[in-house]
Amino acid sequence: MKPIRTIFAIAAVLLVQTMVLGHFERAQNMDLFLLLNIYYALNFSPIACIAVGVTSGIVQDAFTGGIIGMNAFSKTIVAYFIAIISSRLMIKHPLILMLLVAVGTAVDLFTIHLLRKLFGLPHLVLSYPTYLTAIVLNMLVGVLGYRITDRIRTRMEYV
Amino acid sequence: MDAGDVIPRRSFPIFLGCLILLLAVMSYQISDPLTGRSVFVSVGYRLFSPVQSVFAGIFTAVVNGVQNYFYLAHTNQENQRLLQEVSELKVRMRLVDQIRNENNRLRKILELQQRLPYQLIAGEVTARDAKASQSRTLMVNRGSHHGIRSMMPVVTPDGIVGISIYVDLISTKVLMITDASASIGAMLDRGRVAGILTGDGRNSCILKFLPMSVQVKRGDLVVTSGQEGIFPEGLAVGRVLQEVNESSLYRSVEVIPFPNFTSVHEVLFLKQEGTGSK
Repeated sequence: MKPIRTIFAIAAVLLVQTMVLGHFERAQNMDLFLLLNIYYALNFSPIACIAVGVTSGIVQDAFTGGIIGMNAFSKTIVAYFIAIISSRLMIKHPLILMLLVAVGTAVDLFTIHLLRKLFGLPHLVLSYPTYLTAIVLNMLVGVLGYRITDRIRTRMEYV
Repeated sequence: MDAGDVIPRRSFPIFLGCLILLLAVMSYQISDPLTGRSVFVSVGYRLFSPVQSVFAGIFTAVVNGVQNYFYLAHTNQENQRLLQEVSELKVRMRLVDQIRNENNRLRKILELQQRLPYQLIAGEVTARDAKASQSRTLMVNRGSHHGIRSMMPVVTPDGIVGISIYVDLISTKVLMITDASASIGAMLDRGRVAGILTGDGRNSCILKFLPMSVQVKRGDLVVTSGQEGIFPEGLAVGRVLQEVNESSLYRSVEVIPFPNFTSVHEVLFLKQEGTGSK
């Protein structure tokens, strides 16, 4: 893992999430920070994933209305466990990737809810369609994005 | 895996340590009763908001550059089209003058300007929330340097938007009224029945604590009541969509705010004249 590249990736995700996706009603439910974490979890070591999870989560928290640490916490959990799974199994099939992203998104949302409850923050009254939109968009964009990124990486390494 | 990666078993204590540290950080923010604002929030916000502003500037400059290039490439056609448009606009201007006169007359009738002892500070929305499913905030390119303070009302010509929560030198984070943790005093314009308006975390709000005796219709206008001491009384909030069954003790209704928050580009901060902050 190259730190400079990772910082650029986090910055790019932040820009797209806050400046592009925010303009679209449905697309704003997508969580690019989570997709970035899952990508790192699939390709790098658990230690690297913890570092990326904490860093990207704190950046996301800084630009979110909640308290600092919530997204860092949930992202670290998701990234770590996916990294543990991927260090033991070869995960390349798109359907398994989709399943991983869906479970990752659900765990992320559930952890945020749990933390809000733990710290006595107002309950989020999000509807099931909102959750479903987030999961489906994350699945589709995630798997497509990972494919493209992998191809670019392979080509760059070949060159 | 990269060469030199640590085996997963060794990573578990680090993972656990990180989680405990993050919990401690979150606990610290929640249990700080003195300032009401956390050091972590300020540091994180101050570190990244200048970066955000710089990138926003670069982004705007690149978009403008590309647009200018295409504009120049079609200057002749554009010129012809603009000439036609000018003549159309002349006609429209006459209509606008009429509307403006009418508007001035109405404004005089309402004496809105005299009733609001506020100075308006315009700002541009540079970014939106980094996780819309968790919270609803906006980043605006106006900060303490421009006279913005924390807990200032933020509005658009359509209606209220929210409250400034974190103010940096050149940027401000605005908590929208649709955020689950936002609550302000509001009332039904018809009958002047007051309640508490809270965000539902999506794109609407809930007006709570209305008496069971009050009759609410779909489309009823909801305005600010000014009870929370931040918003002046009478600013438009939105319209009633439907009744929500929350309690048998009081009535609650869902309110759709007037501004379309996904397309808000400019907002106005209401600064009380003669004071630094409210």
